[in-house]
Amino acid sequence: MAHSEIKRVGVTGATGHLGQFVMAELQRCGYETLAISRHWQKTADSNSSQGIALDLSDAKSVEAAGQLLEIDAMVHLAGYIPDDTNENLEVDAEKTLTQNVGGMLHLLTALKTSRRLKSFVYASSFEVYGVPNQPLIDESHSTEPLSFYGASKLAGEKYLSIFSADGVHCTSLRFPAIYGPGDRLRRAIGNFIASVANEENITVCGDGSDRRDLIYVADAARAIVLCLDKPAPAVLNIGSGGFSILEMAQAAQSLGRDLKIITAEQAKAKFDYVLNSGLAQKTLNWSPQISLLEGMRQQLRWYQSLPEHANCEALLE
Amino acid sequence: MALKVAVIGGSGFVGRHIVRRLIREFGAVINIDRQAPGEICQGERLIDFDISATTMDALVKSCGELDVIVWLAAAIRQVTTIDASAGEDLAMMVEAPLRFLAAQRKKPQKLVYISSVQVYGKPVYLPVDENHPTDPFTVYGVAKLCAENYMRIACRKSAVDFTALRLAFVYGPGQHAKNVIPVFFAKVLKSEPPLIHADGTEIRDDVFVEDIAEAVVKAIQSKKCGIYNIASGEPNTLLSVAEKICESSGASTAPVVGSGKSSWIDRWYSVAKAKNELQFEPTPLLKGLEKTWLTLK
Repeated sequence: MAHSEIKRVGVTGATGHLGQFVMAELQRCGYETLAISRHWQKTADSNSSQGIALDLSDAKSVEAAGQLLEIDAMVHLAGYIPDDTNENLEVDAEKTLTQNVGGMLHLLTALKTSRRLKSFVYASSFEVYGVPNQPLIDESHSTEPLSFYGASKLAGEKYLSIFSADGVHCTSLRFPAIYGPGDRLRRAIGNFIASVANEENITVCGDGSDRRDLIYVADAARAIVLCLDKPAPAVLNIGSGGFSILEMAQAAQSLGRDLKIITAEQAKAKFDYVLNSGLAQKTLNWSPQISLLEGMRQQLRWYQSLPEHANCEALLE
Repeated sequence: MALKVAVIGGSGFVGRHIVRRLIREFGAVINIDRQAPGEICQGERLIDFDISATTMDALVKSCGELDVIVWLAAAIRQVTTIDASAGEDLAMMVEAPLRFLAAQRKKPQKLVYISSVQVYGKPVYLPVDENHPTDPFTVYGVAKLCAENYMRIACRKSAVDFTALRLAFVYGPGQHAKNVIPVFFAKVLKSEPPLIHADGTEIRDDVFVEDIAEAVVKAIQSKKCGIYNIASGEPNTLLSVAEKICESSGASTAPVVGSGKSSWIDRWYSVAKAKNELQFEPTPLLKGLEKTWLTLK
């Protein structure tokens, strides 16, 4: 199944939420993998050809990582994601710059000398766009990020675009919120799942008509792996088409027993944020396979398997 | 109103013009630069400080409370591949201004960030206006774009007005770079013709350095904020630039033109937004060249 030219794929952020699904998908498709992560730990049955511990914000160690020259494709997922509850703190500015922008730069600098690298897939974010000026955001929408995270992801895309001029096929995938097993962020889905697990009523702010795009983690992983051996455009939206907050709440409600949906006052102005992912469907022959209900069921199952699911935040790295 | 303004990177070619113009407007200015200028202006206070320092507390203390910050510090370059200096670009153009702003205990009213038309990359239409897509093909352009976004967000969070000026190619008195205009003037000074390698039809946009200084003052004084092209708004072929240099200097020589198309990407920039919102009026190329020539002959 794997592309004849691409055998070995490096994955940064391999131990993260999306990373674990990407590793599984790559292995399912017959690729060899090199896990790259700050948290990589050698286990009894692993050897150095399977993974390396690497902090991408450290230019010198990235440069010294010779294993990077032995991969045919790179999937770059690693990055600092600020906690949603602390919007745009100074520490976010610094960490997104050093880890996300700096990390990309160090990685590309190290890979410049590679003779094997054919393909580079980068997990970017819908936060690059900023305030939507069309109901469905397509890839040509203006980019005025409202968050440091969005600004860092955009800068990564731009460095990658310059890198691609050297003949490596590069694709930036702009993902909305990624949910599913391993999603520790307390956004709408995470909050609803926690409510179900704790057998609490589900709180929706406002009338719940705001539409948000999101994507199930395994669907996101499939899109990434498809980019490796398809001539994908340089930038692609990877979304599900969006759901209203109320639809998410109702899905959660159906996963629980006798839970009510309660309405709270809406703090923020109503806004919709939905991506047009038509280009990805056309060029990658990809579409989301997992329904919202099924995706949330998987996330709930994972959440309930956590040692102390009632206190999820304590597990944040 | 006498505003207290600090310019970061005021000792270079463009910086000198900005510093002088700001002194004329506000009486005094702080210039933060590791390099001392050839001549310190009356009203200029030079602070020798390495902006790559991890803490800016000493600098902020030395400056006192500021009304306006003008961030100019950058090492201009035209590299089109990822290179070892890309990280230094980020440190100087993004990390340092972020840290400087964060260190201000009382935030300034406004931050004027000097950016570059390199943020646009290859034009998909001409003239390039501020809504044009931003796909830089230089690492310098990427760093400038990154800086614009980070500073816009940081300023919004601190309730500081933010304006970015995207400069086209700058020319004028005091320029020593190996850009086309000073190179052509150097030829004319030696009574030699300016040499054009290709057919001279490539379109470019050169903005007079005094217009930059004027734009900075207008950006500071305006109630408007945002992103503005600061260019000549005047598309010139390389041949017409060379001809105007000959004309401005009264030289009897004419440019020598080669043949064939150069690999140059034609570009020029709309200044309609700066004209409307900042009352920016660019100097015509010939007039700017004449003023430049007066300082050379």
